[in-house]
Amino acid sequence: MNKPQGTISRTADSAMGWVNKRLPVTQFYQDHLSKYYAPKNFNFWYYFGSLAMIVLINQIVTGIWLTMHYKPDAAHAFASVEYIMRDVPYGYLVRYMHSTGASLFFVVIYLHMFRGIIYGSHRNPREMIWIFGVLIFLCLMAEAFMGYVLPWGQMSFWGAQVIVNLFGAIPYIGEDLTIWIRGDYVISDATLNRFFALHVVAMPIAILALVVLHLAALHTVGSNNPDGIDTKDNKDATGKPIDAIPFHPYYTVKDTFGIGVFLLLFAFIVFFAPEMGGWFLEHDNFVEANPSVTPEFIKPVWYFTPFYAMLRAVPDKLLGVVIMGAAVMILFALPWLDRSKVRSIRYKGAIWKLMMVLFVISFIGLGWLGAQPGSIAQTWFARIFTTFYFAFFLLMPWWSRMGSTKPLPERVT
Amino acid sequence: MSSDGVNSNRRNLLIATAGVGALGVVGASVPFIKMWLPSERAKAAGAPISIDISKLNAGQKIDALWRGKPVWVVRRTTEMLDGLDLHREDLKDPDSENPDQQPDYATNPTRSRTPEYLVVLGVCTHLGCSPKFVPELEPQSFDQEWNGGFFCPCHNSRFDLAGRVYNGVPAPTNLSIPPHFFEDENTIVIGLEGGEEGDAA
Amino acid sequence: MIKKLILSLALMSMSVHVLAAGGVVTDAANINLSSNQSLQNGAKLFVNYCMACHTAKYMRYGRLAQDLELTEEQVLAGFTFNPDAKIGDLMTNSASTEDQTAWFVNPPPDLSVISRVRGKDWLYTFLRAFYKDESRPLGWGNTVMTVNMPNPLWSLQGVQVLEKQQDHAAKGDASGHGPDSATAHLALSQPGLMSPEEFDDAINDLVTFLVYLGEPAQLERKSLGWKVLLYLSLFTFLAYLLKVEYWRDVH
Repeated sequence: MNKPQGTISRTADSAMGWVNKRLPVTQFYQDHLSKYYAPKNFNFWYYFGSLAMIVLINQIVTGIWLTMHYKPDAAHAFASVEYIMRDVPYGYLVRYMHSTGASLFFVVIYLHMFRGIIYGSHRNPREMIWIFGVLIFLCLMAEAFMGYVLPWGQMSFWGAQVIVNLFGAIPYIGEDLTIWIRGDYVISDATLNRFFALHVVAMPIAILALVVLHLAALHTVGSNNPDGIDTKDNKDATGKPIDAIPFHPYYTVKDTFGIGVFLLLFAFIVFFAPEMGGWFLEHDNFVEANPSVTPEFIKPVWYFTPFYAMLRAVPDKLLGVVIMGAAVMILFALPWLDRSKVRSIRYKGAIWKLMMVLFVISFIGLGWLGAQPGSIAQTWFARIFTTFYFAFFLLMPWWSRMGSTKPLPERVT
Repeated sequence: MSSDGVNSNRRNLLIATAGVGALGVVGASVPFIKMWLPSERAKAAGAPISIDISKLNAGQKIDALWRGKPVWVVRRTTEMLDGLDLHREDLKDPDSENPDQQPDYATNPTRSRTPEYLVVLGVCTHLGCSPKFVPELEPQSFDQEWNGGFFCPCHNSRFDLAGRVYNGVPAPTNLSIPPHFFEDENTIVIGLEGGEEGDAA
Repeated sequence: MIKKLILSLALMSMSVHVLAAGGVVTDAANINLSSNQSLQNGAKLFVNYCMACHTAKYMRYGRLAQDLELTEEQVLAGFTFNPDAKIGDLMTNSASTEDQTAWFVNPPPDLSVISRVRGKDWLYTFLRAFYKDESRPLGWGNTVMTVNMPNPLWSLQGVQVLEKQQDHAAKGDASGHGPDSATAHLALSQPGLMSPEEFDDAINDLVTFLVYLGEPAQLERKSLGWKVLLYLSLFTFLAYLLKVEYWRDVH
């Protein structure tokens, strides 16, 4: 920055001084932006963190505005959504921004997590960042599930029915627990009302707090990079890291470009394909909830289908629920399961790369199967993929050490 | 580092991107601002209403609701109309010079389309309470020389039988006259100007 | 997971309506939402033939006037049967839900968003798939879905009967229906006011209107979309130049 000159900048300077004595704004700006050094070799995969932030802001702002017109009442909820779509000026746009944002949130988060796995961003010393990240993912799933109940269509109702009944599989307390969650013997107005409160108040607060912790942990240890090597300690004579650059302006301008590309995709969906052929907004959810008629085919929205496929693959109620829960919970253990000598997939051996490819195939396969009616052949595929999903994690302490690794470079490439 | 590299190209691009970005933020805020405007449902509920005045006797008032606000139709007696001239100097705006408070066709001494019928919004121009109708031309506790009119119990604003506000009360302007017209001799439509003028504001 | 993204996108392009149709093979509707004539004709059919029993209770007459470029007087005169109807009213019918519950086992569903549930092709096929079937309570069957409703459009279409499979195999398929289509085994036994081609066109207009009715904002949404994409392209282009400019510092 140039030294300020002239009366105006001198006044601004002393005003900033006054503030800084009381609240270290400049210090904060430097610590987290202008003097926060990030490795200079971030690639495509590193856009998704800032994109997640953008989607979160979108969800909060559009969500607040939808709340102004939505009625969390089983008798009026469905009609109030159509009211937003038809009678409220620009209501349709804000509703689609919210529904599209929900799906894209998961696209972004899944890609963000995948980045972490392939470049070893979860490994020492970044375990806490990963754990907060998985917690955000968990909260996001709860948030998305409860949000999906609010339009009070058939899929809202029966999806909630199925998911809440999962808790019924817990021995001894299951039945009572489901009644407690619903506040009724079936999914009803009471359930809708409490899910609304959790969706618009409780979960967003939890998610925001976790995002702050996620970033605080990140800024404590610094970012990993595609080479998975440390860049903090490699400094030049003036004490600046050689392989890192200040986040602002370099990554702020880069992320601005990334956000532009993302918004193009986002706007395209919002304006031209908001239903995404039934994947983002399901056809059956345009029928008002009816407790006496189950739709012919119930499936969750696409972002839950991998876990749903696992649930259906297991021919036992309790075990199915346990497997589904474990599939998410196992992510917490990842930092300690990965025992490879290097962090990044770039320097790992063929076994690691093969396992990663198989994992991706399994996860996508499960996602596809979870959206299908589930024939016998499909169920068997789901079992194979589920087995591999768990083998990938549970056997990681062994296979991650197998095979040779390439030598790490001194500097980032 | 960056301070050395500042050149005009970088500065221009920065201004252009920030400018276009700011424009986008302004554009994106339009739907959010417009979402606060009355919805089609509110507009439908605020549609023009018809009031049947065939049973309204002289000296009486009937109430209706238009856009959720009370609308009064007062059929004034000759005595009441004569009384309107008696307190001219006590009024803030005796000639209805504030154009926001009535349509052009009500900018006259009686503030009405026909002298007999006053159509007025029953909302005090001070803070929105609904004034009381006190038609008797006799001394009141709040005014010894009362010529009939409206008295707002919230903050003691007083209006005469043409909805004109008195001096020395908190209400700043005369009561508002809504757009209206006589569909036939027994029907007043509130919310439309009638004739060729089309929709009201 | 980039593969995942590609695969999911590929899957999304598949029509999920096939599932909604329960395996019924449908004929393709050929709708054009920008055709006011088609929309107006469809709206007339909807009001005259559907709204005796069904409603569109989330739709207002005023929106119809605005989007179909009709005057409010035209809509009130030509699209409502209630002389007291106001332009801001919802498109409900005179029968109350209580009455209808008494008349029917299941009251006829509201049709405001039916096109978003069923899809255009299903509706196009369903509305042309009624046939005379005295074994049904109301005397009408439908090859797309078993449903307790008479063919509301029989006076226009005429009366169809269900042919036996083998009869059909010998017959050429003049109407362009697919060999497995739900309408393929239906034959006209008594002509209606319209020829089969005219009737198909009329149903196409009706489906066009139903698709519009499912989301009236879609006309405006798409035209706004182009402007937003144009703006975002400009912004992204500038942001890209700015990024390149700054990253000259980074070696």
